[in-house]
Amino acid sequence: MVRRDGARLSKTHTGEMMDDCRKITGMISEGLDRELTWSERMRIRVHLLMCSGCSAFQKQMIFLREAMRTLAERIGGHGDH
Amino acid sequence: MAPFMDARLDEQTLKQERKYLRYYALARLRDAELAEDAVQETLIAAVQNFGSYAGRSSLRTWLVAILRNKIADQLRARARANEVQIETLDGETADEALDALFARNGHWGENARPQRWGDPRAALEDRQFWEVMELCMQRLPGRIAEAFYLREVMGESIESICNGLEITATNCSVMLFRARAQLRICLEAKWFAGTGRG
Repeated sequence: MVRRDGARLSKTHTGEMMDDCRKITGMISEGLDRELTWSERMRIRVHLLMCSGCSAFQKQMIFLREAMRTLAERIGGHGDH
Repeated sequence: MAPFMDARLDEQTLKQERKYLRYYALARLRDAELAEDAVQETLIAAVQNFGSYAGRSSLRTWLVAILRNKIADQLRARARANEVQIETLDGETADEALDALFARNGHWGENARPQRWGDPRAALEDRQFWEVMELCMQRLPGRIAEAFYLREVMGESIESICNGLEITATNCSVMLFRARAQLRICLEAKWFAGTGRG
């Protein structure tokens, strides 16, 4: 099924419409590199309400970013950023 | 010696940049010795050619450009030695690797579902954690490691990474996604899983 905005939705075994985890985690990753649209943020939020795996993924991505910042400080990266 | 007339390339600066370049080379070559060689050659070339550095870019950008050439030389030499194509060194595409994580319907595959890490920030204070992190980063395929490194450690924008690596923005996003997903798995397996840490 394709939504009006072109996003593909898959049907879960329980029958409700839900973005798939691959797409959502991909979006979470992209959110670290560009500002997500309102609609993307909403899709992530809704999905995270019912998916523990993707919720954990999101928290880990935030941690990974923080860890890399720490590493950058240690080795003098992040020049003038 | 003329190059040292400029204060920006004094010993202190070289020392500082060396540390940074070493990490870059390590991410790309995944071999401490080769990385050291590439950095040494870069610094020598930088000192010798400092006259041609016009100051249009930052010193670091200039050094990284030299380093990337040295790394490319190393990779070519390695490819020749192993009689394999450079491309196959970095092998499988980012997309294929992600296929392994997810089931056909796009949901988490068996055993691939992320687990809770508790409070991972404590790990940042742990020296051993950083050893694991370095190991995990070295396991990333070369180009993917490079993209991840440019983004997360150098803080470069997607646009500049795409231009530098000559890939599309979409490809760049997929590579970063792959890097993050793979690092996540490695850290979970080697640090956060079931050890009561974090």
